[in-house]
Amino acid sequence: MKLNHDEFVALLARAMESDEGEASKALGAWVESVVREAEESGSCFVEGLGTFRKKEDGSMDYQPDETLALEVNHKYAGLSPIEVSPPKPGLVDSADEETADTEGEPAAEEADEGDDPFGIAGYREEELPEEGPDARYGEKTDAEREDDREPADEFDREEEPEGEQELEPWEKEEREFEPEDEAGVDPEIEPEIDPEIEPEIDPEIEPEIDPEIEPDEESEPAFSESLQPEDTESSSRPFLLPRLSLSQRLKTRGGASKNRRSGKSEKLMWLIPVAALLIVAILLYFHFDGQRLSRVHIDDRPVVQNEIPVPAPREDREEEQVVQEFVPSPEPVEDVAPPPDVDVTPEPVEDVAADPADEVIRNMALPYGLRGPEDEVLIGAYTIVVHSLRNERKSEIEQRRLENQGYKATRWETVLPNGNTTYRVGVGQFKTVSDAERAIEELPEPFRSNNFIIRIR
Amino acid sequence: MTEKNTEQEIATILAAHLKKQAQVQIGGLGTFSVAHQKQEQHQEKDGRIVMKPPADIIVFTPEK
Repeated sequence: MKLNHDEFVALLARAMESDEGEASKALGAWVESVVREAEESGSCFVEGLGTFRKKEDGSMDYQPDETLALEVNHKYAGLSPIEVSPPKPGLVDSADEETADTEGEPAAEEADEGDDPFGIAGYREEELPEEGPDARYGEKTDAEREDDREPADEFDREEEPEGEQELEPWEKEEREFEPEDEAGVDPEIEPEIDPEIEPEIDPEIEPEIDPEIEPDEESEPAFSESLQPEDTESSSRPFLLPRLSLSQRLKTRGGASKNRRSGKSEKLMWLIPVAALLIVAILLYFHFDGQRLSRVHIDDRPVVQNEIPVPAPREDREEEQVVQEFVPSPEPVEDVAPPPDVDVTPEPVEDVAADPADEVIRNMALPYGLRGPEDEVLIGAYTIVVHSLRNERKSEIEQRRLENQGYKATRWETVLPNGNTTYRVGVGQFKTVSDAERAIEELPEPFRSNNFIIRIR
Repeated sequence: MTEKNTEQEIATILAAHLKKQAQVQIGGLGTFSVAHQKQEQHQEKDGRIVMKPPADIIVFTPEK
């Protein structure tokens, strides 16, 4: 509906009980006064209509009167925004951030977990020695443990400074026998031994050394006994550094057995990688052999098809195309065709709607939905308002009409800010706004294009 | 008829037609109309997603 200037003048003339000429002059005079006042004082208020303002660009701006705006918007008056989803955690305000900062402990725990994905951060170093050497070495014999230990000791000697806290427990026991003044002797002095000292070796000790010991190993007892020429094996032992005393103890127990054990350990050291390589080779064999088998199987199929003159059905032709694409490629492809024993037909998808369990769930959710009897009004649910009427009786009629059409129809009254009462009729009850929006598509016209969703309170 | 009465008559006619969702043109001033704003979802600064209710609002287009 449109009312142009002439029509407005005619209506004004009828209201003023005068002719159109006089009404036109009166209207022109009013417009001129409004514009002038707006230009002079910045704004012009017209009772029952609103405020006119002159903008900087010279154009006129209009702010409608609150009462008039409410009357025009009576259908939707009193509505407030509906919260569809809560605030996102990442967009908290500064106050919330401060609160989060005060809770430092959980954050620190999270940081620890992040830095330690394998969960070993809580495993303290001081807990490690409690296992003891036995735990570290599993079921190995004592001699094997020491065999394993020796290379590690040599490595430690190069990398770490000597200190009590870095020694193994059994090593500490040996260290307790060391005199304090000699405990700090650097093991690296071993290569710097003066060869002239060698003649001073006590010949009585010489026979104790296993003849099977390699010549280079002879320097060790020579070194130790040259500095302690006058005593027994027990007295010379404490003088040696832990590593030297370990090696000497091994020698005194029997160099041959050591060699045998070291030979065993060497065999073991070789056996482990060899076994691992064998396993990998077997796995690779089966892997590529499986690919080859499947390829052979696919290669066979076109031959069979060629024997049949009739054109293959559509599915077979598709398979043939796959084969032709696959066979020429010489490179091993991981996504090979499945072996013949594998059923490649997709599993039939069960019809979810036909599932009786879903039907039960749907029945349990009966209060929600667009249609059906409305046994109870669900506070907090959403409904689609299709009528907003000032006449109570008319609203009742509309509610009954919708119920007769099978809709869940709800009617309630709303008092507007201006004191007027509006009766609203809604259809359906929905758990979420999205459900309500989907239901709108099912509504007939004019409701489909003229409605709004509100929350039942 | 006084100027005040004329103003009241103009406001009454204009308001009555706007309530009927009509478009009213007044020469020398501009055109008044009613526009319907559909309900729509929008995101607030705090991340909340709210659905703004629909509304019928008065729109004024000044005459050039």
